[in-house]
Amino acid sequence: MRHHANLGSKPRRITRRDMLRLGSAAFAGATVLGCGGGDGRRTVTVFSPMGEVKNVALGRQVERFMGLRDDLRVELIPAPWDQGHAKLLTMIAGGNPPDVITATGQWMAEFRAMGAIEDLTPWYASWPHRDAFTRTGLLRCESSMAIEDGRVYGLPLELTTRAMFYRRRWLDEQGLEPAATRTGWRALLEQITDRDRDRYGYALRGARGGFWTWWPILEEFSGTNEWFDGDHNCIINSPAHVEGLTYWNDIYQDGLAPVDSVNWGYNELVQGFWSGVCGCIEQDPEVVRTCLEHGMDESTLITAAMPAGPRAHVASNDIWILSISSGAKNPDDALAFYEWMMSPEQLIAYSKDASVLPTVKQGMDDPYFGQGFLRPFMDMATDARFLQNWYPSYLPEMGEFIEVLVTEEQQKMLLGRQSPRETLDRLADFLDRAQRRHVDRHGPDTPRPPRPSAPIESSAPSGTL
Amino acid sequence: MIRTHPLRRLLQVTGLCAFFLFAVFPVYWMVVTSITPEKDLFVWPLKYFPSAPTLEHYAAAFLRTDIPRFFTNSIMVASLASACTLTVSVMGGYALARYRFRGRKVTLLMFLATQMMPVVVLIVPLFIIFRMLGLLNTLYSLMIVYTVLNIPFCTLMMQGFFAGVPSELEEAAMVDGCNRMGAILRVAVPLTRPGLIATFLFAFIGAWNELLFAVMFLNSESTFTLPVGLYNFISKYDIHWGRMMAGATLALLPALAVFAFVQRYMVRGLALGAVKG
Amino acid sequence: MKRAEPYLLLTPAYLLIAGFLFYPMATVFLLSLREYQLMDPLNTPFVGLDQYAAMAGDEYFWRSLWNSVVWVVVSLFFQFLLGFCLALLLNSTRFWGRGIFQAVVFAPWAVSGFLIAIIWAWLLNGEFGLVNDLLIRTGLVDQKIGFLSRGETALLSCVLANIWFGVTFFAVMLFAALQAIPPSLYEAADMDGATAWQSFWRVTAPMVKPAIVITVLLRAIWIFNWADLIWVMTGGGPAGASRTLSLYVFQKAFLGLDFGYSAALGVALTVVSLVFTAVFLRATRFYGDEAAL
Repeated sequence: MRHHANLGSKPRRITRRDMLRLGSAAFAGATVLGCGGGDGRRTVTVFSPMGEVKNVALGRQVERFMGLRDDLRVELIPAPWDQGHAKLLTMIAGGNPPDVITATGQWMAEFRAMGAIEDLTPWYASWPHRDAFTRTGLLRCESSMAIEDGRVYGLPLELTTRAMFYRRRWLDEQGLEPAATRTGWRALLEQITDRDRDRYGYALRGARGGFWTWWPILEEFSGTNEWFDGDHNCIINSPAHVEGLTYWNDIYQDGLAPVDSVNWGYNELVQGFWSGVCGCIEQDPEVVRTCLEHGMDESTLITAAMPAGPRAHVASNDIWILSISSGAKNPDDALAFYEWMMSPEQLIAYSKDASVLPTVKQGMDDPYFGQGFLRPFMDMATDARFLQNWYPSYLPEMGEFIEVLVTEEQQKMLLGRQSPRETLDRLADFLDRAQRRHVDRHGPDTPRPPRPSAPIESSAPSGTL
Repeated sequence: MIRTHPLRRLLQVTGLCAFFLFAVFPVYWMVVTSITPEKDLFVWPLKYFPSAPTLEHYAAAFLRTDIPRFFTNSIMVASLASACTLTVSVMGGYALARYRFRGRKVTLLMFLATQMMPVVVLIVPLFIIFRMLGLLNTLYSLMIVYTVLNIPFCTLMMQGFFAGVPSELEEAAMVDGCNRMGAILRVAVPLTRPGLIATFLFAFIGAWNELLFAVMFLNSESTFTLPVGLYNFISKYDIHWGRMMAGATLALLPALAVFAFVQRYMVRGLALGAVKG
Repeated sequence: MKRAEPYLLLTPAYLLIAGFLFYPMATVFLLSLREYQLMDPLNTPFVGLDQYAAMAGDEYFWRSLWNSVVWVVVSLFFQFLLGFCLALLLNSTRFWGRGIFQAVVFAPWAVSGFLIAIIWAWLLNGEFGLVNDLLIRTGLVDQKIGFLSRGETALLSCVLANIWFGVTFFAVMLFAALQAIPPSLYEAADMDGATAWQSFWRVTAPMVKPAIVITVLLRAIWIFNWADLIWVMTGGGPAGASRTLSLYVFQKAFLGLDFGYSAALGVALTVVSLVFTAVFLRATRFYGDEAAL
C-alpha cells in the first residue's frame, strides 16, 4: 500500500486526475480501432441490398470502374436483404444517405416521395445512350415514379419478371407439359400433388410478398391492371377480382400447397421447391441460379411462361433501379460512376455476370439471354401482348398496404377466417381512403397504368430471340 | 452432509439429464447440420448423424466471406465495450453501494427505466447522433452503444458485489493514507474479482451477439461484426442452412470457451453479490 | 467535498445514459406528438396526443399488446420454473464434471437472438424439422405439424425458443443466490428439527427472494422489449398471431414508414413497462428494500 505522507491521515478526495486516469484507461485501447482510407481518393458509396450473388456482380463492376479512375474509391454497402429496406430508410431519415442507391420499384416510389432522390434530367438530356433502354424498362421506371412527367430520377439496372418453374420429373411421370392456361395449370397441380408422398403442386407464398404472386392472377381474371375507376373508387373487389383471389385461395384450401406455406416468405418458398416438396413455383430469373446451386439441372428443371388467365395474360415485371441520392456528398463523382455503370456495355456485362435480364435493347439481341432457362423470362418481358402488372406506387400508404395489411388479410383468408370477397373488401376500403387523401392533396390527376395495347418492344418481337 | 436417499438421487440425475438434453439438442442439431452435405439435409426421415460428414460449409463460409475479419472486429468491439462498461459500472456501482446520497433512489429507478426503452425507436435518433459525431461506419459507434446499453444492469450488478464486501477494509486503507480512488482500486476491486468477471462476461456476451445496431451503423464489409456477416448468408431467395449453421457454430465457439473457463468465477461472483441482494 | 464523491463516481454513467439513451428517447417522445410519415417528410404537423388516442381504436395495437402479455407471461413462467429447478438441482448435487456440465447447460445464453431464431426455425421447420421427426418417430403424432404457420402454435413456438434461451439466465442468477446462503442457516434449521420442505420455505425462499424479484422484473422487461426473435422466426404471422407490441413498433416504422405513430407506440410500450414495474415492485413489497434494488 502506497503512503501519501504529505496528505496526513485524512482520506483524500477524488481529484480530477484520478477520474481521468480511470476513464482514459478504458478508452485508450479504443484508439487501435481506426477506420481505413487516407489514400487521397474521394469516396462514392453504392448501396446494394440485392443479395450475395448480385452484390458480387455489382462489386466486380465497381472494381472495373476503379481500375479506370485512380482518383475515386467506390465503396459497396452490402446489406442483408431482410434489413436492406430498413437500413436504407434509417440512412435517409438519419441524414446520411449513400451516394448511389439501388432500389426496387416500390422502394423507389417511396424514396421519391421522401425527396431522397436526385433529379437527373439535365444530365440525361445530353446523355448519348438515352435511347438505349427498352420500352419495358422505361415503363417500369414510370410506374415506380423513377421517371415522372419527362423528368428522370432513376434508370433501370435490371429487369425482373416472373416465369413458372416446374420439376421436370414430376411432370414426366404423369406425361404433363407446362400449363398454358390457368385452368390447365390447376389441373396440373391436382395431378402432381401426392400428399402421401409429401408432394405438393404449388409453393404458395402465404406470408410477406404473397401479394406479388396473387395480384397478377387478379389482373388475369379481371382483364385490367387498373386499381381505381374514374371517380377514384377502388375496384379491386369487383366480382372478377374476387374470382381471381378465390382461385388462388382454393389452391391452398384444396391442399395443393403445403399447410406450412401460409407462413412462407421468400426463403422458405424457394427452398420448398428445390428441396422437392413442391412441384412448381413462380419466380424471378435469379432463382434459376439458386436452383442450379442446389443441384438441379436440365433433367430436373423446366422454366416456362406464366399460364394465361381467362381475360388476360399478365407479365409480372419488376425492376431494380439505380439512382443518385439527393444527399450525395460528391454528386459529380457519384454521377461519374453512374454514367459509366448505366452504359449499355456495362449493363450487359453486369446482367450476364448476375444472370439477370438486361434493360437495354442491345441485350435483347444478345444470344446469351435468349437461351436455356432464361428464355421464357425474356419472352415474358418482351412480348407486347402481355398485360403489364401495375400497382399505385404513388400512394404513400402502399408500403404499409403491401407489407403489413395485405399479409395480415391474406393469411386470415388462408386460415379460413374470412372469404376472398371480405378480404378484398377490406383492402379496397383501405385504398379508397388512401386515394381520396391523395386526390385531396394533389388533385385528381393520378398516375395510371400503361395501356394493355401499347406496343412494348419495337426492336425485338417475341419469338425471334 | 447426510447421504442422499437413492430415490432422490435418481430424481436428481434424471432432472439433470433432462436439462442437459434440452440445452444440448438444438446445439447438436446446429453442429450436425453444419457438417451434413446439402443434399442430405432435405431427406425424410432425417438422419441424426450424417453418413458422410463434410466440411464444405465451413470452407464456403471462409471462401465466400471474410469470416476472420468479422471475428477480429467482433472480438475488438465486444472486449473494448465490456472493458468500458466495467470501468463505468465499477465507479457507479461503488457509489451506489457505499454512499447514501440525495438522488440515489432516482438513479436506481432511472437505470431501471433505461431497460424499458424499445431499442427499435432509438435507432434513428442514435444514428443521427453518431452521424454528428462522425462515428458512423466505425466500430466506435457500436462500442459506445453496447457500453451504454450494458451500463445500467452492470452497475446494478457491481453495486451488489460491493455491498457484499465489508467497507471496514477500505476505511482502514484510507486511514493508512490511501485516497478514495486508491481504496477502490486496491481494496474493493480485488475483493470483488469474481464479480468483475461475471459483469465483464455479461457485457461481453451482450456485445458479441448484438445485431440490429450493427446492421444499421456499419456499411463497409471490412467493419462488419460476426452477426452482420452471418446475417448476409440469408439472401432474398435462399437460406444456406449448412453454411449458416457452420457460421453459427464458429460464432458460438469463442463464447463457449470463455464460458467454460469463467463460469465458476461467475457463479461465485454472482453469489458474492447475492448476499445483500 | 465528500458529498460530491458519489456524483463524481456516477458522472460517466450519468453522461453516457443521458446522452445516448435519455436524449434520444426525449426526441422520440417529441416525435410522437407529431404526425411524421416518412413518405411525406415536409408535412409534419403537431398533433398533440392524437396518435395516442388513435391507439384506442387500433385493433392491431390491442392484439399485439395481448400477444405481448402471452409472450412475456408464458416465457417468464417456464424460464423461472425451469431455471429455479436447475439451480436447486445444481446446488444440491455434487458430481464429477460439474464444471463442464454447467458450461454446457448455460451455453444457450451465449447464443445470439438472431441465431436462436434461425436454429429454432430450422428445428421447427414443418417439412424437415427435427422436432417433427422426433414426434413422428415416437408416435406422438402421425402428421407433420407446421409449428410456425398455425395461428395456435406460432407464438408458442417463439415462446419455446425464448424459454430455451432464458432458462440459463435464471439458473445462473438463482444458483448464485443459493450458493450465497450461509450453510450455518441450514444447520440451524436442522438443529431445530426442520424438514427439508420447511427449511426450503423458511431459509431458502426468503434468502433468494431479492434475487428472484430483480431477475424476474428485468427479464419481464427485456422479453417485453425483445422483437428480433419473433421477427426472424415468424415475422409476426400468420395473420398477426405472433405479432407482439415491440414487433409492431418495428413494423410501423420500417414497413409502414409511419415514424410518428411508431414513436407513439414506442412511448406507450415504455409506459406499459413502467406501470408494470411499479405494480410489481409494490406487490412484492420490494420498493422499501432499498439496499436490494
